[in-house]
Amino acid sequence: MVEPLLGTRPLLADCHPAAGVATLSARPAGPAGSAGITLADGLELDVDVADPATLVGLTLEWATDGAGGLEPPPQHRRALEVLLGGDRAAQLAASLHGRPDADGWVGCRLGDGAHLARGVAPGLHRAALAVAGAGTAGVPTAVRGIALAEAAAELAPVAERLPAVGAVVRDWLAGAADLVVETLAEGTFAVPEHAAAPVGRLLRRVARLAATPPLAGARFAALARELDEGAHRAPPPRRRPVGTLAATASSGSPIAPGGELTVDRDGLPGLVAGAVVTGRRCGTSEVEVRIARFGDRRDLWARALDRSDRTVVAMGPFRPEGDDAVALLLVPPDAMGRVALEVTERPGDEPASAALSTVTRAVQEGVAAARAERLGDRRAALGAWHRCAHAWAAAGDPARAEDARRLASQLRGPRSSWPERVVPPLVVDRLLAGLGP
Amino acid sequence: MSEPPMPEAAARFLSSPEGRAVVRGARLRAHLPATVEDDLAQEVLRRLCATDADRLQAVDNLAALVTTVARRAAVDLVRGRVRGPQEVVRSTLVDPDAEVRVPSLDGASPLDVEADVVGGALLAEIRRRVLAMAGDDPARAAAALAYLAITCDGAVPGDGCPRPAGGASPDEAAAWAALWYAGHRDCFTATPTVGAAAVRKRRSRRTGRLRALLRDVAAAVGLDREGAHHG
Repeated sequence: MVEPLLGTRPLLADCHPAAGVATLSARPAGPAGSAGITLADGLELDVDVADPATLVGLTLEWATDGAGGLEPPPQHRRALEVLLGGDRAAQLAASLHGRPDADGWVGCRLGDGAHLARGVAPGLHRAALAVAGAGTAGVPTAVRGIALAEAAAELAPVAERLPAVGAVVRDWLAGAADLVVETLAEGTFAVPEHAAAPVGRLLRRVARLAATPPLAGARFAALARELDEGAHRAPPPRRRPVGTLAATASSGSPIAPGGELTVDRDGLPGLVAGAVVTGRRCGTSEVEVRIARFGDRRDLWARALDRSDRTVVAMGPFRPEGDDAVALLLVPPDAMGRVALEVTERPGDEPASAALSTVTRAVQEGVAAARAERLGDRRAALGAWHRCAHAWAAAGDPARAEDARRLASQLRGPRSSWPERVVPPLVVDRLLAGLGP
Repeated sequence: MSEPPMPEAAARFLSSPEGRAVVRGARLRAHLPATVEDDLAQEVLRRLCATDADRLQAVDNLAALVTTVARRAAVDLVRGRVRGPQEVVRSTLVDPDAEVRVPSLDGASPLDVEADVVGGALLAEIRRRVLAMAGDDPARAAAALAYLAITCDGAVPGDGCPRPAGGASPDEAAAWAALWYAGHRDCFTATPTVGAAAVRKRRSRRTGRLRALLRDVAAAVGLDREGAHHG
């Protein structure tokens, strides 16, 4: 019998027939949150970032026309059978006809397999992790593209059993070709030496995929050859002289030029979450925000928020300045004593609340911890789990804080003795670890 | 009696016991802490307000729609993102050089009001509107905020900021600085391939877009050349 792609662990189904949504999960997301991918229109998969074989959510949405449709859309029935197995797919369909609670939800348990049974297929969960890496805020364009290529390479074999994902693979390949080929050819990104071999292998693998358009395939293959020959590689990182960071971080009154301004560390996006970010008043009204050793991050913006009403009073894009990324803001002088600075990849959005920022910060620390685990970097993983636990406690979730500490305590002994939940590293993990300080 | 507009109806629903129960359900299903519940409701309302108005008007089951939107917002939060799904391949939807109809640069300031009229809460509202109306074009929003800082708050651009030659109006100087702080460095530097005339034209087009935004914002908050409308 062919095993379902989502494995055989027991699942809880939660359906809202009137809203046209059903969610299945093995358990809620842990302290590192979830990584999600869209498998087809109205069908999304989320896995636990720190334990990616665990299904956090398979979500099915369908149009109800206001009448409360009680059936999943026909185009997803076959996909559900492949993902869940025929029996559980039938159980799910039957549950939609159950009696809803006062809020309109119907719940049921699917399957009775042991919790140690096989989980989500590697092709699916590794694709989800790679896509999450591609979406990390502050990541250079080429790294986004390489991550997307890796996601396509992982998901492509799944398409043989689940044809619905074929279109997703083709979209990712097209995006990867645009992002990788152009940026590497333009020389705006160079692959760190330690990641050159895995990136080359990935590009060759992607070039051979049946779903890769011939022209894109040829360009991927050519880039792989050039990488082998030593092109597109970054020089070893320069060491910053000791003491420079301390000087940058010197304190002073924000009212006076040279004074340091508060940077909202909870809101720091993805990749720069662990970076040294400083804000300094340069003159009457000018403020400089600097991300140390993060170079070219043109998709990130700095914003100055008036803390009294969280209004954005100034914003500006980051530009490279030596090894650092620097943004200049023009801030109303009267507001200088009230502003908090933030770094964001979505400058057009209203500022997020402190509570939501704390949760996203906790998740991002967990994501960093899980990545360090995959790379076998115990010290980095322990540090990130510690910060993750601290952030979850601050967010009012002591259970996830305790989970983070529990996961950290599992990292004893050599890498080979770590728990099975720690999967082998992705190519994009190596690239992300090579960015920043 | 006619139905209220969708954002108003959604806000009313979200503050009702039924609406609060929907958001609480989404939070509990994602196992998120109680501390985020109010902000999650706010995020749901923001997403509903950002949805295409025609699509919203076609909705005949508001509770079902809010259930779906609240679930997505909670899932995004567990994915470590407050504002919607990850953007991997980012499309550029805005042409910063698109022509807009604007009065001559020698004309009155697009926010032709006294700074003391545009004070306090009204100025904060103008800034919020700038972000809301130009959120898809952050450089344009950034320029507008810098312009407001100069013209309404007396902010002084730094020494590195370019200034027009003598004889230019304060409005033009403010517009130059606004473009500079918004990152439009290509409005000031001629290159071997882009000559001074082309740079001037680019600067003029982007200044026009800045002025158009400010005028739209002024209209949205009830300002005109005589000042603010009240009541």
